Amino acid sequence: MWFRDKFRLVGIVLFFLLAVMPLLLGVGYALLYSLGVTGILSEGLTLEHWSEVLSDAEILFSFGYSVYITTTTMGIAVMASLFITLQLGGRLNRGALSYISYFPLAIPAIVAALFIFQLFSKAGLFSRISYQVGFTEAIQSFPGLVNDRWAIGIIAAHVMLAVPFFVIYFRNIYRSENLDRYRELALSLGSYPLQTAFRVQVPVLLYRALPTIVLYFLFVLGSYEIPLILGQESPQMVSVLAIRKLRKFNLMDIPEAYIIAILYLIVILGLVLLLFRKRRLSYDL
Amino acid sequence: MTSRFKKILSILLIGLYLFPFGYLLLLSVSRSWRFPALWPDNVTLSNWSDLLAGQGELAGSLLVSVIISISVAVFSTLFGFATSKFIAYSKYRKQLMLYSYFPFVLSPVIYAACIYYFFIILDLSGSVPGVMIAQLIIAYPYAVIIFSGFWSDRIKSMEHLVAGLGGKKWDTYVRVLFPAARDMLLICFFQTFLISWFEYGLTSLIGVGKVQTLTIKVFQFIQEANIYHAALASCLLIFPPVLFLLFNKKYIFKTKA
Repeated sequence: MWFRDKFRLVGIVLFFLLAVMPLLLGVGYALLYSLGVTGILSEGLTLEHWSEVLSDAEILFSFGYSVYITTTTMGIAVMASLFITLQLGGRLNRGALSYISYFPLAIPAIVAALFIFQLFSKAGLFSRISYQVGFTEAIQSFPGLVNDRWAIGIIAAHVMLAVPFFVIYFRNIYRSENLDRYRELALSLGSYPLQTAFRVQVPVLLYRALPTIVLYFLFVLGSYEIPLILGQESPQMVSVLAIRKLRKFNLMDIPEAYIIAILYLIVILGLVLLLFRKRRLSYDL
Repeated sequence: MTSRFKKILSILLIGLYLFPFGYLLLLSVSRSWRFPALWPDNVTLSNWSDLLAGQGELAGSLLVSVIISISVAVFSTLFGFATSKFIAYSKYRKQLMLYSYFPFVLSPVIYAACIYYFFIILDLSGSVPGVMIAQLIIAYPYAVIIFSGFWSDRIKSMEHLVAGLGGKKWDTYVRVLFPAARDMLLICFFQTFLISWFEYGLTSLIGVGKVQTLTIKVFQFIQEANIYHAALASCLLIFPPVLFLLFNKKYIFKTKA
């Protein structure tokens, strides 16, 4: 019965070949490598690499650093997007802004990193403006805003990509949930504009957008190009650290790279399971 | 807030959104821009004319990127459509859908690191087909997720109706399902095209530097401190999607969460 529809049969086979098999093989290989069962320097089953990684401050710090960058990015991006959406409301759907607001979606991460580097670096546009208006006296006087300790450049690049996305997203929710009518109702019942925003509009927007906010959080957490270009040598974000260890000439570092990958996978899987535990998926069947 | 404040905010937002495009375009027509000048010393169209004459390295990269991205988008869209039907009509659809999310939410570069070994033993690393397959592995689950909203009781009833009226399976797909899913097929094609078009980490790892897509070129130029060519390659990356966006705004952004 299942195979009466060949199109569905193709669907099953493809799901196995392109979704199930690569993920299982990849995770399985990474796990075996991390346990010393396979790999160039394999000497049989051992937990040595795991105990090394779990006591390695650099790796643990890298996870913390990634969470710091992601949380800060999401905090700034969501707040800025909410502010823009609530302030502009219907204006976002009219005129030039309704078209132009889609443009930043066409900017890939690597281009955002290049752009931020060109603005924030010591020879960048902000440094030039600062020099021209007399705030700084030389190229060295400009503060390091890229490849810096606080990841200002990384956060700026991610915010630059996230704000336009969330403005469009919130705008669509605003429209579909008829928030203008709720606002009018709240105001007519005597609430202040700020109360209306924080007690009616913002909760609805955040509740409806929560799954997308979590998915975007995961996207930033695993980002690679932006921290690669705008980050510093140490600490590094998880993806950059894993690939650095994988590509280093020291073969002893490869199991560590796979352990970082597995730890990252556990975090992601946990968050996805948590997110979709009670959520009804979009099938209407 | 006053209407004047809202007007200023709108203009500011338009300026901020357009600024990266203008700035990168300016960099792409520059040859020299010394500190602390606020305008390039030498503005020329020669970078672009070299590209249009097919002389630079970028023309080849543009072609490779177009071939890879269109192939990935076509296959992801068709495969995703087929698989989403299988999942929708399965009694394990919740579990299968959840599984579809995993490859999509993983960092592509970390996923690539895990499957890299298999690309080596299959002799696919460093080749265009290898990069296409690797990108398909991340774009395809996304296509499945996009189409998850398509299958419904209404679509199922339409299929039954066609079967009841004597239509064959082929007729159901060609005359009913594909036309009904047209908008979603376009959304999916465009979004999976963008996933492939913007991809860097996975492409650099699986392609081992031999498959020179535009994103790989941008990074190479940045490493060589050749900012003007990096900006030119960036313009090639961002302007085709902008053109798509201008003509097909309604297809690009799906509001369903």
